[in-house]
Amino acid sequence: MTAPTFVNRLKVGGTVLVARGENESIISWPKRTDPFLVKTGEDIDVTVHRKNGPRPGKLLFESEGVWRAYQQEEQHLLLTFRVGRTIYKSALMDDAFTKGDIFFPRPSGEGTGPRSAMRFPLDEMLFQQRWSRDGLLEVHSCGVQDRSGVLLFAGHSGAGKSTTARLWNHFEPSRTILSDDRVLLDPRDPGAVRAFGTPWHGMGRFGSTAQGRLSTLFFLEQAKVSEAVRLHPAEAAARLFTRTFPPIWDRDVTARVVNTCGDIAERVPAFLLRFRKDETAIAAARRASASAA
Amino acid sequence: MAQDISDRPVDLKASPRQSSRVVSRIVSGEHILVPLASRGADIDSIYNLNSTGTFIWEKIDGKNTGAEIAEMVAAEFLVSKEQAKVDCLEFLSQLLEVRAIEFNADKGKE
Repeated sequence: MTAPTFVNRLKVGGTVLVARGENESIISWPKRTDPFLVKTGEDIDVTVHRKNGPRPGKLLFESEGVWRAYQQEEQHLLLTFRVGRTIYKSALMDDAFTKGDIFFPRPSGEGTGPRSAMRFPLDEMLFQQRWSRDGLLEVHSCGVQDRSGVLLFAGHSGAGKSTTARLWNHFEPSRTILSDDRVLLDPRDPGAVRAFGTPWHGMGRFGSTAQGRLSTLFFLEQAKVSEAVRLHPAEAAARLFTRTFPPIWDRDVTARVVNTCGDIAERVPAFLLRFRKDETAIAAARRASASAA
Repeated sequence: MAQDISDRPVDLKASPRQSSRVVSRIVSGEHILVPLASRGADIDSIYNLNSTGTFIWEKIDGKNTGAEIAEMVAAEFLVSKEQAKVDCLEFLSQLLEVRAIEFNADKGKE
């Protein structure tokens, strides 16, 4: 086996994922992530190997998509990624998600698989798992840096996150869009919940390294008239939880994520934002944010 | 008028306990319950409890029987014991259905 000599680092929020591999392409990220590449740091350290991964242990979670999670020996977790019945990539990580190995065998026969082992969703999942353990929260949301701080517009697919980003970009072009699909929240500073942009964008392709103090939480719902309705913190925490990406099979880590949702919901005002796809949505969000300040 | 509660799956003589497959957290006075899951389709199941639900949830400790919890509800919320029993049965049945509570095999106190 060739010793890994190439290194690439992706920084999201304050967390650095360092990938090591035998050549540049196997650990590369798409061009859009360039602003997130850094030279130092190693919070999550993985090495890519061109061979098959270990045999999966006890099944913990079936995503009903491309990936599954398995419990391995010595408290390691194995994430597998499949096309059909074939595992084309797997990641064996330690319990804290600080160090691990990526197994990325060469495609058999004439097949031509992806050249890099670090592409979505693996890269994002490594961050998500680590953040869940550290008390941070990645939220399915659009983030906008407004005058009062970051406004977070959370919603499931189709709720209007990219639409919201486009509205702000059109009517308030001086405002920075942190992301139109994934925003990282860090509540560890008792003074303020921090919000960070991420490289994992939505349909609007908004992704930024910008960050700011989280001012207001909104949960999106499309409507004919724009209005914001204040939510009880428990309702906000529950809505927030269903828009995060917790390791729901793991009781301890899930409890930490639930606690993080509760902490944020108790500290940051939250609203249901029914919105029409025009500038009234921006006005309604600003009014609500100002009323809660 | 008291409702017929004889066909409910929960026995008020039994002592329910909170399931280890559920994570709960109190947020500004109200509980949220999150069931653990092993499949993607189950992830969005999460429950908000109102003040009565929160009160009952906190009394579920594997020791108090359903009947005792109903008496506590009657005293706390100033409702009749019959109504409290109906409400408790309804709520415990819902919790059992989503596997948020479990009963010991011996069905609790006699």
